[in-house]
Order: sequence, then C-alpha cells, then structure tokens
Amino acid sequence: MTNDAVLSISDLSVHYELARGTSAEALSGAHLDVGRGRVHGLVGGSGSGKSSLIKAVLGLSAHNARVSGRIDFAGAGDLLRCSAKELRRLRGSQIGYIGQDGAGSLHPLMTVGAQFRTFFRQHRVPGSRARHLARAAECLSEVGMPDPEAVLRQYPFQLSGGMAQRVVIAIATALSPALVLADEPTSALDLTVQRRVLDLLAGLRADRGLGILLITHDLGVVAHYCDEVTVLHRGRVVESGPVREVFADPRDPYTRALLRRPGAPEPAPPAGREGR
Amino acid sequence: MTSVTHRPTGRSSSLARARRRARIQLWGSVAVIATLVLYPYLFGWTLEPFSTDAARVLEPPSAQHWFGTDRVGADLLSRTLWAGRTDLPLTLAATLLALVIGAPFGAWFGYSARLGERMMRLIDAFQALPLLILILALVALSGGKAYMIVVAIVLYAAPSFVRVVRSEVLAVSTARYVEAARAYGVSTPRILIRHVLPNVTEIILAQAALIAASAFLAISSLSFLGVGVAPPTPTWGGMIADSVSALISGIWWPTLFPGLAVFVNVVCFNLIANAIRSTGRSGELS
Amino acid sequence: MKTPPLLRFVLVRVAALPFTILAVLSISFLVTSVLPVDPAKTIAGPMATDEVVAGIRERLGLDRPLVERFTGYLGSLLGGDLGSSYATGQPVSGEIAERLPATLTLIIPALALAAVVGIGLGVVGAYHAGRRPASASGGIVTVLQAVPDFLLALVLVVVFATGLGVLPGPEGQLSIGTDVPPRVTGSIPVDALLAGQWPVFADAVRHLILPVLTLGLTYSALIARISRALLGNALAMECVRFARACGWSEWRVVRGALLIARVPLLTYTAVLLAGLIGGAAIIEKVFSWGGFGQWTVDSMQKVDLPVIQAIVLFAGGATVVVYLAMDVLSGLLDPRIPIGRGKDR
Repeated sequence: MTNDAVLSISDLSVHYELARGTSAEALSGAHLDVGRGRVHGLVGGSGSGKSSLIKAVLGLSAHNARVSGRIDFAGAGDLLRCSAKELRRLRGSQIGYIGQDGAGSLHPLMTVGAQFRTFFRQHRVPGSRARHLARAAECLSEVGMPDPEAVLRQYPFQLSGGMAQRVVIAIATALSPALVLADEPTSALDLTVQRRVLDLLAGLRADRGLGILLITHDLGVVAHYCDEVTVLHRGRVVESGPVREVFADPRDPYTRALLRRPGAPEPAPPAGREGR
Repeated sequence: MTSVTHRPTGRSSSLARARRRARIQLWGSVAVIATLVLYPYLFGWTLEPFSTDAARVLEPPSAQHWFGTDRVGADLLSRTLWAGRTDLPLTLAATLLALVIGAPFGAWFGYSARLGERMMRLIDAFQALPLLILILALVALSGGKAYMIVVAIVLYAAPSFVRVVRSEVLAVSTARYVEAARAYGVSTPRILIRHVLPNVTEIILAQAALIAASAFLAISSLSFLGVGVAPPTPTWGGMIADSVSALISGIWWPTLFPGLAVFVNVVCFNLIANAIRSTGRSGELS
Repeated sequence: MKTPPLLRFVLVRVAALPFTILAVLSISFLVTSVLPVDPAKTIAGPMATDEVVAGIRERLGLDRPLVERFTGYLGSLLGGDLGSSYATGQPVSGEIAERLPATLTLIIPALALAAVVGIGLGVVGAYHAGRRPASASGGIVTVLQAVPDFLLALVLVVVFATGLGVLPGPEGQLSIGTDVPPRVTGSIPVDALLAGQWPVFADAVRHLILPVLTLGLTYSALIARISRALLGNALAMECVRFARACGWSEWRVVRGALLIARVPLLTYTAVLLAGLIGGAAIIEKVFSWGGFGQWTVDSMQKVDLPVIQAIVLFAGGATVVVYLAMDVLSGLLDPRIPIGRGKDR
C-alpha cells in the first residue's frame, strides 16, 4: 500500500512555541497514508490536530509551529524538506485544497474568470487570456456547472454557496493534482447540496484517480464515501484502517463514543456505497 | 536559553509580565503628565518665566540656565515648565468635558438603537465638516479666550466619545446579563449605570487618552499659529513659533525643549491608551 | 435601457448635493454665530470704546437678528456672492480661486507620499503581525504620530536647508527673485512646465520637497494605522488561506489583500484630502506657501469675518464634493455596491 500512496505521513509532530519558552503540542507522532484513487477520511473534534496536520502538508504552518517527522508526497519526496518555492509550486498544481466556506474562499472582488487567470498565471500555464478562460470554462463544466461562461464573468457574491464551492473544487482540481485535501468541504452547505458536492468529489476521484484526504466530523459521510479512516483525538491517532474494519470493531473508546452518537452509522455491517 | 531552564507556569507568567509592564507604562506616563501639570503650581516660585534680560539673549544651555535663554533673554527651563500650566490643563479640561458631554449621549444612542442609528448619521455629517478650520475660526473670533479653546476642542472631541461609547454600549447591552436585568424590570438608567458602565469604562478611558493626545496636538497647533492663548503666557506651541527665526540661524535650544515637551506628552497619552487596553479584560481575552 | 446605470447613480448623488451643502452651510453659520463670541469686540481690540464696537457691529451687520442675517447670507450666496474681505475689500471668491491651486500643488503630492509610506508601513505591520518588522513599523508610526507637523517641518528645514544646504528654506514656492511663470492653472510647477521654463520648474519642485515631506510623513502615520487594521482583517480572510493553498506567491497574496482593503482605504484617504484643504494651514504658514491654508490663518488672525465664513463654507463644500467623488469611485471599484449593473442578470 505504501508504494501506491500519494501521501504518506509518518511520525508527524507539531508543536507551537508560545511566549517565553513555553509550547503547546498539537499533534504527536501522527501517521496516515492516502492511496492513489482512494478517499481517506480524517475524523476528529476541534483541537484534535486536524488543521495542524493539513497546514503541515500544505507547508503553511504558522510561524511559531515546529514540525517534525516525514510527509512523503509522490514524486516530491519529503515535503518537510522541500524549499518554500517548491512547496508553492506543488500547492495548487499537485496538491489541491478545498476549505469549508466556498463563498469565503474566493476573492470577493475578483470575477471567477479573473481568479482562474491568476491561478493559471501563477502556475505558468501557457496560453492567452482567451485560452485560459476557455480552459476555466472547461474546468467549470467538469464540476457540473451550468453555463460556465456566464459564471466566469460573475463575482463570488453573485453565486450561491453550493455554486461557490463548485468553483473552488474546479480551481483546486484544474491542474489535475494527485492529492486533494478537503477540509470539511460541505459543513457550510445545505443537506441536499452537501450530497451533490460529495458525489462530485467522489466522481472526480474515480475519473482521475486522485487521492482525497477528507476531513469531516460526520461519520455518516465517512461510512458512505471513504475507503480508509483515521481518527485523531487530542493530537494522537487513536484509530486507523479500512472504514469497514474500524466501524465494525472500533478499538478506541473515543471512536466508540463517536459511533454511539445519534446520527452515526450503524456500527455493524457498515453502509455500503449504495447508501440509504 | 535561560527561558527553558526556569519555566514557571507558562502562559500565565508571560501574561503577568505583560500586565506588569503595561502597569509600569501606565503609571509612568501618568506620573510624567501629572508632574508637568503640577510642577508650576507647586514649585512656581522657583521659576522665572516672565523676567527678561537683554543682556542674556539666546544664551546656550549652561549651569545657570539649563535649557538656555530665548530671544528676549527669558529662562527657557522656566518657560518650558510654566507652559505646562496652560497647555495641559486646557487639554485635560477639554477632554473631560467632551467625555462628560459625549458619553451620556453615546450611552443613550447605544441603548435605544433605532434613535441612535439616526443620530449617528447626523454626527457623521458633523464630523465631515472641516473641523480644524472651524476650531481656528471659533478661537480666532473670540480673540484667543481660553474657554473658547476648550469649547472648540469639545466640539471636535465630543462626537468621537459619542461614537465609541455607543458602539461599546451596543455590544454590551445585547449581553445576556443585561437582558436578564431588563427582564426583571430594572430601569434603563439603572441598567446603564450598574451593569453596562462598569464593563465599558476601560475602553472609554483608553479612547479618552487617545482623544487627549489629539486635543493636545490641536491646542499646540493653535498656539503655534498664534490664535490660541496670547503671549506672553508661555505655551509650547507659541514658544516653538517664537523660536523659528533663531532656529534658521542654527540656534536649536529654544525649539528643542518645548518641542520635546510636546513630543513627550503625546507619547505619554498614547502609552496610557495602550496600557489601559492591554491590562483590561479585553487584553486578557485576546 | 434609458439612462446608463452609472450615470443614474451619479445623478442621484449630485441631486442630493445642494441639500448636503445647505446643511454644511447652516451648521457652519450657526457655529460661528450662536456661540458666545463677539467678533466686533475682537476686531476693535481691548482698548476700544463701546461706540467703536457698536459701529463695527453695524458695519458687519451683526446688530440684525440672527434669522435676518442668515437669510441675507443665503440670498447673497445664491447670487454667487461669497462676500468681500473686511480687510481688503476684495471679493472672497476671487481670492479662493487664486490661492487654491497653490494648496492643491502641495497637498496632492503630499497625500500620494502619505499613501505610499503609510500603506507600506501598514503592510509590514499587518503581514508580519506579532514579529520584529511589525513592531518596528509600529514604533515608526508611534513616533510619526507624536511629532506635531510644525515641529517636523522645522526639523527638516534645519537639517536640509540650514544644515546641509541642499534644499531651499521656507521662502515660499519659488526662490526670491524668480519670476512666476505665466498663469494658466495657477499651480507654479505645472505652469512652468506648460511654458517650457525648465529652471523655474526645477526651482518650484525643490521648494515643494520639504513641505510635501512634512505633510506626507505626518499623514502617513494615520494611513499606516488604518491600513494595518484593514489589511490585518483582509489577511485573516478565508480567501487568503485558499489563495495560499492554491500556490499564490506571497506578493500576489498581499496584492489580493490590498485589493480588498482598497475601497475603505480610498474612502479614508478622501477624508484626509478634504481635511488637508484647510489642514495644511500650519505647514503653509511655516513655509510661507501663500496658498489657501495660509490665507485662512492670516484671515483668522485678522478676524476678517466674511472671509472666515466663506472659508468655512468653501472647505465644507469641498469636503462634500470630495466625498461625492469618492462615493462614485467606490461604486465603480466595488462590484458589490449596486450601481445598476448586475440588474440585467
């Protein structure tokens, strides 16, 4: 499995240096693998270290963060040893990121088209303005956006939350990254829209073979969309493995507690891909 | 390096240190300003701000005249200290008056939100007026009367107090405990005084220090322009204006000392504002 | 579409202009009339007899009731008459037209400098928040804020004019003995350029440097504070996170944040510009600039009542016009402000 991993995190620790020689540990010895074309669920409450992990992978840790361990990324080696410039090149082109708030993720004063253009220019995608816009329209229609040309001329405030999140997904996957980090991508959306956005991600995974690290606190989503799952609790990995196994036989009390919560999937035969 | 060896209780200790530093800042600045205000009143007899002597015009600082003498031979140390009697009390009076006038209106407009919304538009319009010119006009028309300087500065500063008090009250009065008090039928002024006021004092005091700084600059500018307090009463702005011709020919001491006095005062007012903000509850939370 | 939406947006605001100016006018009239100040006494001086004071009061029309004075004032304003100087007898409107270009020559470059320095300091303060460069920028801002502009002006004059001798001292807009170029715009450097008089232009620019530096540095502290706050908010936005996660370079990220802060920053700069029309008075006085501001101070000192009233009114009117321009500009720059476009969708 490690040979096939897009992302392989081992022994990752993050601590934050606070004022005058004190520090707080956010993540300790975390490990996690995201396989090519797999969806890996990352579950944990607030303060579990999920966001420290994401920031570490993106190379966007806070200035007072001290990160140690290994983050192996297919084709680039250990991300923690990459230069800032190299990481910047990887972000967006090889590693896509999707945040919680689609509308907030877009620059409020740039049209969707302008955001695509800035993105393409940053990553030195050759072509004229017209070529860029045509490619952007293509990306938008791939995420199921009706009338992409009109959307390119619109500002984020003219889009609905679901549409904005689709634009974000379109940008994040425009350059065919090998890995997408999706940080609770649907928590700000209506239930019906949530399903569609997650289905869209699952579809892209299947079509392009990209690996997805899906951060969520919704075990139903994990059961439905993920292949593997890792549970973080207070900065430590308390559970990891294929979704089916973990849900059938949770070993850690924290996971068991999560599974007992109302709304969580049935612990025994886990929900299959057909859902309900 | 040493910080690793003795690491008391972490976060709380660095917070305590920051608070201690802020407290030193606060009381240090208050002490400087208080000294400058009180010195001429308490030890006025040691100063000779008005005695001039044609035989000792523009003498550089010496053991006899620490700050040197000005172009009519008056002792600059005496005049610089004496000016604290004029500029600072005017600043403090104007700021206090603006606070006393502005704060109740701010509380009222903050508490009854709909009226406040409308009144704030009026205040916006007022603050859009060219206030410096208005102040200049008022003071000039009155012939530089001290009370008119205060009135003009109040006119300029009171709206800022209305604004800040209103926004603070607006924030606090939606808090649970205030709503609870209202539900118990406590009267509005009583709620404002008992429950809202204690929670907004610090921010208002910090704002008052900032306003005092700009009021002080405005008063100094007025006396520099010669429309403020009339000579021969020394004011720092007036002394600087008076020193310009000497300064051009390279004589620096008549400008330096009043200039330094203005600078120190503004810095002190700003430090007071910073210190209040960082020792207050709001500082603890952030 | 009948009227283009932008034009309609502008027209609505221009239509409101007379009312705003009437409000400014009333407030400034009231403030200068109602307060317990007797200009006649001030003009007459402390030694004057009551008859002299009464005479002056009559000549200025101060003996008439307030309402009558106000309507009379309004009436002559509507006739385009701002009044005449009590001291010189010259019509005030002519004097404003003559002096305003000099002031604009001074304050526009000053504001540009203030914007560049202030935004620079603000960017450093916001971008490096909590680290060394930010506290350095904060320290500079604190010092700039605590030095009164007139003191800074004197320091600059002593260093660059008296000490180093590289720049002219406070002798006005041109060296003594230099002929003023033929008046076209009223701004000496611009007129010198138009007339092709290069030495005069160079001289005018050299005279501009110190006052512009003074005003620019003083006002940069204000712009720095506001832009640090605005950029701090912008940099904390989710879209900045996303932009970084998409590999935007830091330079692009800061530019994106500036774009977000642009409209409020412009509004604030407009407030400063409006304030500077009269606020440059002190610096004009120090540098013997002879513009609107210095004229203001001189008239104040002479208690030239009609001129004072006209100046307050003019400065108020200019403020209103600057705000209007800024309103329109923000409407153009921020797509979220509806100025009619977008309705077609």
